[in-house]
Amino acid sequence: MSRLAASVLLLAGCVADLGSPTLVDDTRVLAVRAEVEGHPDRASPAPGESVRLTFLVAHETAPRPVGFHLVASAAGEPFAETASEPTTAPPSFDLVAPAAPELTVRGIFCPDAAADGPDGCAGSAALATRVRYSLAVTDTDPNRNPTLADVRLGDADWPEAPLPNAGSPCDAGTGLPTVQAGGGPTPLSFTAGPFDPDEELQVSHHATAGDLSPTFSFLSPGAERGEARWAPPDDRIGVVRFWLVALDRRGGTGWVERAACVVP
Amino acid sequence: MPFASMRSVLPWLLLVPCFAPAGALAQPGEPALTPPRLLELAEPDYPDDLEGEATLVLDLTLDAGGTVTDARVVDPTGTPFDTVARDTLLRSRFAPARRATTPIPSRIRFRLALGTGPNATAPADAPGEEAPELHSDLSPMQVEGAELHSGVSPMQVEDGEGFGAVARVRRPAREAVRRTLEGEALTWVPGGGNDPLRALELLPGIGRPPFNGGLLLVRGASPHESQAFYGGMAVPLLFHFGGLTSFVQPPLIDRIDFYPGSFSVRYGRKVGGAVEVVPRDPATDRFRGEVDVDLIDTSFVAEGPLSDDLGVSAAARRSYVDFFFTEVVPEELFDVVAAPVYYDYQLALTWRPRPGDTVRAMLYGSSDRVSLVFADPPDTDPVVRGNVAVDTELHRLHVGWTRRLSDAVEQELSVAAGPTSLGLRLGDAVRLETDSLHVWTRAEWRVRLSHAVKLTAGWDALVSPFDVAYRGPVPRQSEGNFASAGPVTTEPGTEASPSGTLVHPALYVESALHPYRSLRLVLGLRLDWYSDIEEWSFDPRLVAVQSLGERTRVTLGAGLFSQPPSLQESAPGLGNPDLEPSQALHLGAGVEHELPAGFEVGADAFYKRLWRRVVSLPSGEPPYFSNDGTGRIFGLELYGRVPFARRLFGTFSYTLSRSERRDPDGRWRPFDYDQSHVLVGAFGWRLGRGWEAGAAFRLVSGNPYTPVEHGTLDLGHGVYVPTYGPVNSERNPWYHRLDVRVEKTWDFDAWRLALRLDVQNVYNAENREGLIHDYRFRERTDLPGLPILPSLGIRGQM
Repeated sequence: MSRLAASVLLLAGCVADLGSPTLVDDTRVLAVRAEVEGHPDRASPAPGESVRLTFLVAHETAPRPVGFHLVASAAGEPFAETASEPTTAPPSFDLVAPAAPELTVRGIFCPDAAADGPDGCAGSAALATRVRYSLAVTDTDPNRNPTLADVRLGDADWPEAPLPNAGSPCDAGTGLPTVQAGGGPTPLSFTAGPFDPDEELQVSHHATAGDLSPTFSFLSPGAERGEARWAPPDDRIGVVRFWLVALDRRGGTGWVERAACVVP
Repeated sequence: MPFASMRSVLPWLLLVPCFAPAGALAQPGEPALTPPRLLELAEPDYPDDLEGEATLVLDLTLDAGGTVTDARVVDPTGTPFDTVARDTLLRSRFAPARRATTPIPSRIRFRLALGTGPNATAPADAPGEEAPELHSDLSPMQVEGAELHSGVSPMQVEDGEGFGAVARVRRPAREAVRRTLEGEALTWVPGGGNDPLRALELLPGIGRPPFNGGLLLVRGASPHESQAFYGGMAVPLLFHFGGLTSFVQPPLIDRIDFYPGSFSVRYGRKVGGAVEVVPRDPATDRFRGEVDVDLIDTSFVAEGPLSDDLGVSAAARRSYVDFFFTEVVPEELFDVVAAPVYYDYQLALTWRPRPGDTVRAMLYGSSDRVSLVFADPPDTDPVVRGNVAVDTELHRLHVGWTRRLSDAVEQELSVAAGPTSLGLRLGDAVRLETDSLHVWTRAEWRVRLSHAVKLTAGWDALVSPFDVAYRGPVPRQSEGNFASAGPVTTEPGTEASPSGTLVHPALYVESALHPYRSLRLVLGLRLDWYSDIEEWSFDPRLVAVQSLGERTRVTLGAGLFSQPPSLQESAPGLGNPDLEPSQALHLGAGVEHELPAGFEVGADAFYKRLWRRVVSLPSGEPPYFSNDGTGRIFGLELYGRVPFARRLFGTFSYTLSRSERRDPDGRWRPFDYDQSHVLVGAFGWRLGRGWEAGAAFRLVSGNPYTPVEHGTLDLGHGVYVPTYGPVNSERNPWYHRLDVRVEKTWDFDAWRLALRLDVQNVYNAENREGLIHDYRFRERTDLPGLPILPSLGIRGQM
């Protein structure tokens, strides 16, 4: 009942606003995508197959170097680990799937610092992001990574384009869509798939500025288009970065990145 | 094992009559008469120019409804005080005299002290110097332990049967501690909103529920370890929406008995405490009515005679938040499927076909419903979205028959049956639907074996067919559930739809004896069977009450208490059908002392040991639960009371306690609602001219909570999950709150009107009830308690 009370209070907005997960206002780990070697659409490896885990790290401005330490376990026993000094390169972890029904990865990402094992950072861990991720290992019922497509801002297509750093000045040559500062909410829509029978995809929405809501949208067969609303910031001019992350909550992940230009 | 214990105790019970001395107390065949009892003394209406003091003795004639039909001053003073006294008592209310359980007309002699001016004394309160405490519906067998003194307050019964002399009658105790709320004590509580069950919160041994909710926290026990009874039958739901207001209406309640521990074997299946709400019999002298309107709901009560021996009462209440709910909530937040609404009703009939026979029938019920569809899920728990709904319903038909079989034997038979349903929905992620039919039966025989020995034997049984449908996180222990702050999204889920029939029969026997006049011993044995886990329990209990003079009593209590696992803990698929009943040992000692003029003080010390507590398996795998938990609770309660009949009245209580639990990890930790200090003081003041004011103050230790050390991003679900520190290792700050109440009453010829203003948390203390974390568990903020809550109500009585 305490959980019910807390949930109702949160749903009803009865408690203080402690920040929205849609706003990327520091260095954030947003997602991880597992890709089986030779089958990038597959999220679940078979025993013995190589799989690469690629992490999506978002920054509120220019990329900051991030150190990390990750450990992979099966049935509670670690079987692989990786670590890196702070780097701006996308973090990744290559491993070979064990003969177990599930593998679990846990670890830590440390902005501007090296990781001190999988649980701490060299220095303060206040801004660290601890992560965990579980992946089915199967050769009979492979799971597929979802993909996002047909992204639109307002009524216009929003194709992939070069992605300047968030907060950088707008450059007319980038071809980014422009939005007026302080303007009204603009719909941001997309499609996702593929769907297994009775599967629901959960899409989370993130931006470096403005008010993007809701936090999640949900897509399912017959309702393949999702939508969020983005109100541009009043006082921040320049590039705003966006990330849409689709999860099937079984280990499959897909994401797209976009940018827009906020002009006076 | 239980039978082995029974073999060792049974001989003691059989020997009980042998120890009883002859002729210690009341004689068989005595007229079982109960004197009238003052319920409410009207405010004296003094002429403006009257000064001074006077003490007058009046002869009062009361009808069978307790109304004063005549008042005559025995020795008139020849001053206006004579008229004032007569007028005051003609407007006062009494519980009628009774023969057995039948109200009867009576005449009593009453002393009243009046006074005006700065040196005036308060009105006296009752016949003699202390109010009779014998309750109006006690049976002759229960009166058996009364203390009778002669020559203090003569009383005659209208039909000429002499009452003899009764000045002070105390109910015999079957429990080590019983605290009774009745009459005005039920509704005067500042901040209580006229809700009689709120008065319980003033008593020692009662903890403060978070958000002023309806949890029953008795001496460090979990809410599910204590039981509320209505008319002797267990009721699972007492409050609307978990604590808004109780479904019982004050005019239909005779009293509330609270047993914080070491209670009689009449009550079982719980290891904490018990609350018995005793309904009042409908009036049989004249029709009465009452309407109460406040900002949230409206209720009415009507009662009266259908014949000389048949009374009926009816009551109902309905909230009207639903009429304006959609106008005050933001449309973009959610769609309203069903706005919050609750209602309750009670219909009661009491028939006394002949002296010694009473048949009571009650039909009552309660319903709460709300259903909202939220537009968006919370930021931290994406699967919790869509429809959030709570739907509870309870209906009961309760029929009881009390029959005096002879001067020495009384029989009580009762059955209560009706459906109970609970629906809880938190989006598609959590759904709980339970539908059950509860059939309670009780049969009890009270037999006087000798002048000083009474034997009570009985059985009670619950038969309950049930259907449960559950989808949600895997079940966890209800107490010490440290994972309650985390998202449902990442928790492993389960689905189950158990159904079946619970059969919980019990036999009990209790022997009350007086080895000598000032000592009362109550030995009890209770044997329970639980069909869901196919287990027995056997609970021996002992209470000793030693009177030290006229005004002081010392009590000792010891006993075993057993409780079966809850349905969700034992149902196949949801829990473990191989569990055993939880058990507790209660030890208690207390002393109470009556000061002159009705003042009362007391102290109770208690210790409880719990074992075979139901706890979660560390693996979180089926069957989810084991009996590997233990617990210990100890404390001291102090209290004082100034009687309500005085112009300035009130209560004071302080509880010092420690309640700890040990889970399978082997470490002792505080109980979820461990409140080391609970200090409650409340007073009321009759200001005159129909004005009454009161205030209540609480100072309570903050509840423990389990800290969150950090969050971890679950990349497969897109949410952060908390990592917890030691369970209940931190505490909320002290809780403090002041409530005030002001009421003005106007008396007219045939009716009375009262307007009340009740303000909870009058200085708007920002009490912290918990913590809310940001989506990453990096930042946190207070979850505030209830702010200042004014409530305006108006009541009309005929």
